[in-house]
Amino acid sequence: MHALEVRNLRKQFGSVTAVDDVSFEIPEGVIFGLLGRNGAGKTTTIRMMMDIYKPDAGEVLLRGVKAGEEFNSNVGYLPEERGLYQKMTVMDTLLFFAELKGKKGPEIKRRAVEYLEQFDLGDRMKSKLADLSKGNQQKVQFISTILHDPEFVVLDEPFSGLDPVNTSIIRDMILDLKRRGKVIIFSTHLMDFADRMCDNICLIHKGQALLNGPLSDIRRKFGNRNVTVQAEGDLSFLRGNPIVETMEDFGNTTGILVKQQDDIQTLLKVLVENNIVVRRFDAHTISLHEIFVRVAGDDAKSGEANMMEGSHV
Amino acid sequence: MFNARTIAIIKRELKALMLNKTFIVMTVLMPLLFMSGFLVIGLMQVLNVVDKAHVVIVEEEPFVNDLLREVMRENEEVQSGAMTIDYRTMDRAQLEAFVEQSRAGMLQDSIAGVFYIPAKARSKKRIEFYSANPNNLVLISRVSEGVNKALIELRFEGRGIAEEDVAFAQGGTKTDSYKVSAGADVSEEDGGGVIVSFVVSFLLYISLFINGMQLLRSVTQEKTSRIVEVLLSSVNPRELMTAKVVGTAITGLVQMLIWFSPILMLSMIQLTVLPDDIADKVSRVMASINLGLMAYVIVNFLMGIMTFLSMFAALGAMFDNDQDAQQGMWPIVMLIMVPFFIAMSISMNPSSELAVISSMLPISSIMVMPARMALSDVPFWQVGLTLLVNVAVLIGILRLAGKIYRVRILSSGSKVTLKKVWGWMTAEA
Repeated sequence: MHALEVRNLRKQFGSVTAVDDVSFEIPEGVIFGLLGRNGAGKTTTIRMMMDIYKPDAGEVLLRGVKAGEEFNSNVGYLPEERGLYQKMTVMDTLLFFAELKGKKGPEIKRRAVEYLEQFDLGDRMKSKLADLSKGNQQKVQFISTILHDPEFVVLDEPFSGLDPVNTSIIRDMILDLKRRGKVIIFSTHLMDFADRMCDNICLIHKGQALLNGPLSDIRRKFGNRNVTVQAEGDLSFLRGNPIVETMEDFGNTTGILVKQQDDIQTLLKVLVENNIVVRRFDAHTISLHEIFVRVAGDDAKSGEANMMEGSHV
Repeated sequence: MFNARTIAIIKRELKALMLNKTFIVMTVLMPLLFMSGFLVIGLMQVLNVVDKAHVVIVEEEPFVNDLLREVMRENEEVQSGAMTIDYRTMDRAQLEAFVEQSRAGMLQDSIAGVFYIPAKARSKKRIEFYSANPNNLVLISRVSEGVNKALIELRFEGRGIAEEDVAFAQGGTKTDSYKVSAGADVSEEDGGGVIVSFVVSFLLYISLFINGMQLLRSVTQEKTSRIVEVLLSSVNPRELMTAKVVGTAITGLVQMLIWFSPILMLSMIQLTVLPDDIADKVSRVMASINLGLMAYVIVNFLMGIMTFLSMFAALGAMFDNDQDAQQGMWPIVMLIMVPFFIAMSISMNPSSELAVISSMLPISSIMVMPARMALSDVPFWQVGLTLLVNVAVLIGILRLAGKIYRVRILSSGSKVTLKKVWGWMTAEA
């Protein structure tokens, strides 16, 4: 049985179908990535999972049973656009959000102090949120998401707007939560992060789930005819070669999809024959980004800059 | 509806609202302002006197000045020297020149005003007043009273009418009012009910605005800062709105009780510390307050503030920011202001049709019924009916506001029109 299952979710806003028949499963103890470009339908899907939006159709199952109150108090949610009461103190904020999830008392307070110390905020407990830097406010918001020790942690674009130091703090926290057996669900348009952190993914494009499952399976499926080449020299001569199906230039590397698995050896030979200095030749590997470009087709290419740079509007 | 989560929100609202400078300032200042306002009104009534005024009384023909001088000599303010009078005789052309010449004096207040008694005043009883402050009612009443007496005396002079009859004609008629109520004895009425109705209406009006605006700001802030999304992952929109409305209503109630406390305290302490006239007024005000009225005022307040706060919450959810929300506030403002002015006006006649109907109509009853009850005895069935109407309105408004709040709290951007508001109210869950 899956920890959480999303079945045929659908949501329409006026004439726009934001989420169209999306289904995926999340096993116990995994990091699950909900991937897609901005506007793909990730946030709407998450809001339906969180019972913030009522779906037009479909349902969310918690261990086989329709999710309700129990899921609600057992989940920590960090929305993409974050906000805290600026006039409240750090400690009051943390205790308030924990109480909203039905947890209060000295144990929660002790844990809040622990987290604050872990995040170098031990001396800011009585500070008002307004007096904290943006980065520190984000840390407080993250602590408020997990303070009540939920089984599920849902993070909508957790890395957007974070500097590299805070990014690694949050990343480490996510990995730590996973070690503690929590289910982490996060949405991102940054394929790079998802590639390195996720066990399972669902790729959403224009409101529809294009891919869904364990990342290793997906990689295997897409990677067996794929080669990532890093080389000196112009590779454009490969275009039109009968063994090459598609070719994507990613700047530093080039992703090449050959027509048959056996063509990989032939490709290496062609490169050497054409005096190309090969620095790296990875067969059977493929990045999530390449997979995304492949499944989403031309639509995805127009959003490549956005996906690569991680700019988020 | 009231689970641990909504209680957490109510607690947070109470803390944020009450441990706040605005609350403390408004709550402490309001009764002080009120008390000083009433003290000033009271003092003005007690000390309703002319203060250092020099007056010129000009008559067109020398027919009344001698008499007037005699009459005015009996005036207390003339006797005390607070009012000095200069009597002259001039025709209209001279008067105009004189007024022109006195302009500087009038503007500097060395001349409080010039009264002109034309010849035809003898038959028409009409005089003129020239002053930098032509609305000086105290001064006008003093002089015209005197002129009236002098004219009456002049008219009856030589007609063989006894002096005491002339004095009788010169006097006015004073009316003493008595309040007749169902249970209690007939008691003398001297404006106590009017003051109570005014205070109750005004405090209700102020409280609806202060707390309504607070809630409006709080909702738009939660919306723009996106805190609401985190909240909605724990509570549903209806619970969130109701918790916020209840939190703000409790704050309003505490505030109202604090505002009422000086009145309650006054009713308990000895009034001897106050000057006699004021103590007399205060005790009359106290006589107009009874337990039934107090209980109704508080129950009505709770229902009224919850009704209006629900509207303010829905309004906050409709708009994307404070400024837009405040511009869209006018329908609610009208729903508060119009009944408020009705409540103010019914002191003239609390049993007029306007008073009776508006005290039982939805929404307006919140403002008008307590005022009417303070002014006169309202039949029990009308009070009961109004309570039922108020409960029904509250339930209805909570439902509609809840729908708007649920649809709009996470949406932004679209222009608010009445048609859209209707759509949000009727949207399916």
